[in-house]
Amino acid sequence: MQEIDVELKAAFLEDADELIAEAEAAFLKLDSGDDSDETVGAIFRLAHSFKGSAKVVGFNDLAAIAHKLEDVLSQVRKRNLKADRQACTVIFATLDAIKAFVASVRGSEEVQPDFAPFAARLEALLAPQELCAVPAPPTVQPPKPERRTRSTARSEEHTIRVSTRRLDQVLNLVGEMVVHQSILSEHAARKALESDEACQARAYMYKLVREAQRVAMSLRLVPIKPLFQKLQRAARDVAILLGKNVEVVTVGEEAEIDKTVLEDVTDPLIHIVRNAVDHGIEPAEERARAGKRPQATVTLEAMQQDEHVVIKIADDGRGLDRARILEKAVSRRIVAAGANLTDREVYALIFAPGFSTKDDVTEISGRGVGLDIVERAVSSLKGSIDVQTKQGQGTAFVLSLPLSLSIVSGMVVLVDGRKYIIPVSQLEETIDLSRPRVETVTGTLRVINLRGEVIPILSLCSLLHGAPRSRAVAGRSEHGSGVVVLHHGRKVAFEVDDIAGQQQIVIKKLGNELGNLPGIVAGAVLSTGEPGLVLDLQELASKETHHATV
Amino acid sequence: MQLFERGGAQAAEEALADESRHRYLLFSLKGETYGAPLTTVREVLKLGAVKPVPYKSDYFLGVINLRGQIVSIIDLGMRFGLSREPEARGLVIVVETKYGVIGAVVTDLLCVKTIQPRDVEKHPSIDTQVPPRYCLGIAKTERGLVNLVDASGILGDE
Repeated sequence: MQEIDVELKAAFLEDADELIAEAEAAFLKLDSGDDSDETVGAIFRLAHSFKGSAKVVGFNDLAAIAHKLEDVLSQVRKRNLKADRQACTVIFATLDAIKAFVASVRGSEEVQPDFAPFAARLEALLAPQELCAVPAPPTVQPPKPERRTRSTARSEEHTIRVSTRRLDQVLNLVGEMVVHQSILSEHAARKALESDEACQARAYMYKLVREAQRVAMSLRLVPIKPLFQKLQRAARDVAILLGKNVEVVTVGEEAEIDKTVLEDVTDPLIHIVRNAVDHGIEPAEERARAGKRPQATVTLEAMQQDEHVVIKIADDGRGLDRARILEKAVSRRIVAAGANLTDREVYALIFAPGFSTKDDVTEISGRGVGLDIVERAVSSLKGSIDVQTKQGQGTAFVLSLPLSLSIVSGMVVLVDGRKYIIPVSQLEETIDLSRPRVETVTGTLRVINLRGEVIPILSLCSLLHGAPRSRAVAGRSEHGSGVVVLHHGRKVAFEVDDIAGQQQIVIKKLGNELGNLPGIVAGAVLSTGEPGLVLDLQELASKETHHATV
Repeated sequence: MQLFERGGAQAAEEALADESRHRYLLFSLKGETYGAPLTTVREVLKLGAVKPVPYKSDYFLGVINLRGQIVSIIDLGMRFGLSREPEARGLVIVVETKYGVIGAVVTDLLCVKTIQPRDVEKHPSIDTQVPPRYCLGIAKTERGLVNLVDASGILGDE
C-alpha cells in the first residue's frame, strides 16, 4: 500500500509540473488580453485535470482550490466574468500557492501553504459586481527565490523527461555497435583485422561512436521554453507591482539547453528580468517625455551558436547611466577616483562584488543579491555575461552558456611533470615566458609586459604542489609557457612547464573525498587513457590574490 | 501451493543474503591479516600507475581511471600507520561505500571466508592499529586473529 502511495505521488509530481507549466503559459496569454474560447478552454481543462490528479492522491485541499479555480474559469468562459488584470492577478497568486504546495509535497519547502485566503479571493471574483470592492485587492507575493533548495537538490536523484524517439536512437546505435564489435572481435580472433571487411567495420564503428555520443549528450538537453515562461511571469509580476506597462516578447524559445545549466541559470535570469523592469524601464511619464511608446518591451531571445546557447534579455528602457555607475563605484571604493576607464570597463563594474549593496534593496530586484551573484553563477557554468547599453535606448544582457557541461575543450598542461587540464573557455591566450621578457619586482613577484600591460605571473607549481619546481624540470623551463586568464577584469598569467596539447574532454565528477581541493573542479580521462585533473584557474587566482591582500 | 513456493524461495534468498553478509575478503597488510565485508568489495585490480593529487596526505596515492570513472586510491598500510612507504606491488581492492567508490591498496589477497557473528569480538580490548571508527571487530579464525575493517569509514573521513 505504502509503495503504491509513493508511486502515485511521484506520478502526481510529474503531472503537476507539466500542468502548472502549461497553465502558466495559458494564463500569460489570458493576461495579455487573449480571452478567446480556445485559451480559456485550455486553462479550464488544465484546472480540471489538476483537480482530478490531486483527488487521486488524496490532496483534498488542493483538489478544492483547483475546483474553485475551475468555477472562476467557467464563468470567464461563459463571459460572465471578465479576465481583467485583477482577476488574472488573483489567478496567478492561486497558481503560486499551488506551486508552493507541490514544492512542499516534493519536500523542498517545509510549510504547506494555506489555501483558505486564495479560495476567498477566488470566491470574491465570483461574487456579484457590487460586492467586488469589499475585499482588499490581493497583493502579488513576489515568488520566493528558489535558492534555498539548491544545495539539497544537488545530491538528490534527478530525473529527466526524454522523448522515446531519442531513446530509440540510442538503443539503435548501441545495438549497431554490439554487432560491429562482434564482427571486429571475430576478425581479431582470426588475425584478420587488416581485411577489408574489418577495416570497414572499424570505420563504421568510429562513426557509430561519434553519433552515439552526440545523441547521448542530447538526452540531457531540454527546451528553453519553460524558462522563458518563468521569466515572462517574473516580468509581469514586477510590472504590475510597479504599475508599468510592459510587453514581453520571446524569440527562439525552441532552443535547447543542458538541464543543469537551465536549472542553475534560472534564478540569475529572473534577477536580470526583474532588474530590467524595475530599473531599466522608465516610469510612464519619463517614457512620454522621451517620446517613446507607452508600452515598454522586454525581449527574451535564445539562439544556439556552435557549442553555446546565447540568451539575451533586452529592454527598451533608459539604458545604463555611465556617470552614475562610476560615481557609485568610486563611493564604494571599487575603483579609484579619477580612474580612466573605457565604456566597457565602466559597464562591467555593475558585476563587481559589493557594487549593489543592502541599502539598494527594493522589494523587487533588491534582496541584497547583486549582479555579482549573477556573474558568479554564470561563470561557474563556464559561461560568460556581457552588457550592451545605449543611454535612452535600452540595455541588453547577453549570456553565453555552454550547450553541455559534460564535454569541454581542454588544454593539457605540464606542471612539474604532472598533467593538468584547463578548460579552453577560461583562457584568454597563451604566452611565452622565456627569461628576457619576465621581470621581478619587489623581490618575489614576477611580472611580464604583455603588449604594454604589466601582468603578474603566478606559478602553478607552487600553487598546486606547494613548492617551486624540482630542479630537473627547472632547467628546462627557461622557456616556460604562460596561460593567461581574465580575473575580475585583470589579466593574470599562470606559469606552466609546457603545453602538451588540446583535446575534447569528458568531465567526470570527483568523489566527495576530492570535493574541496582548491582550484580542482573535476576529473577527466586524457587521450592516453590516464586520469587527469581539471583546474579552475579563476579559483586559484582568487585564492592567490586573497593571499596577497591579507 | 503457489504461496508455499514463493515463501520457500524467499526464505532461501534470505538465507543466501544472510550467508553473504557474513562473508569477508581476507587480505594481508604488511604481514597482518585483515578482512573486509565481501558485499562492499566491487572488484580487485593490479596496482598500476596512479596519478598524484595535490594537497592530499601521503597515504592518498592519487586517482586512477577505472573504465571511465575517476577513483581515488589510498594506501591502507600507510593509512593505518603500518608503514611509511607505499606498497610497491600491491593489489587494489575497489570498495563501494555510501560515500562513493574507493580503491584501497593492500599487500596481497588471501581468501574469501565466512565468519559467523559469534566469532567476532565487537569491542576488542586488544590494541590494534586500526582506528576504532573503522574497526568492525576482531574475528577469531583458524588463521589467527583477523581485523575486520569498514572501508566506508575511511572514505567518509576524507
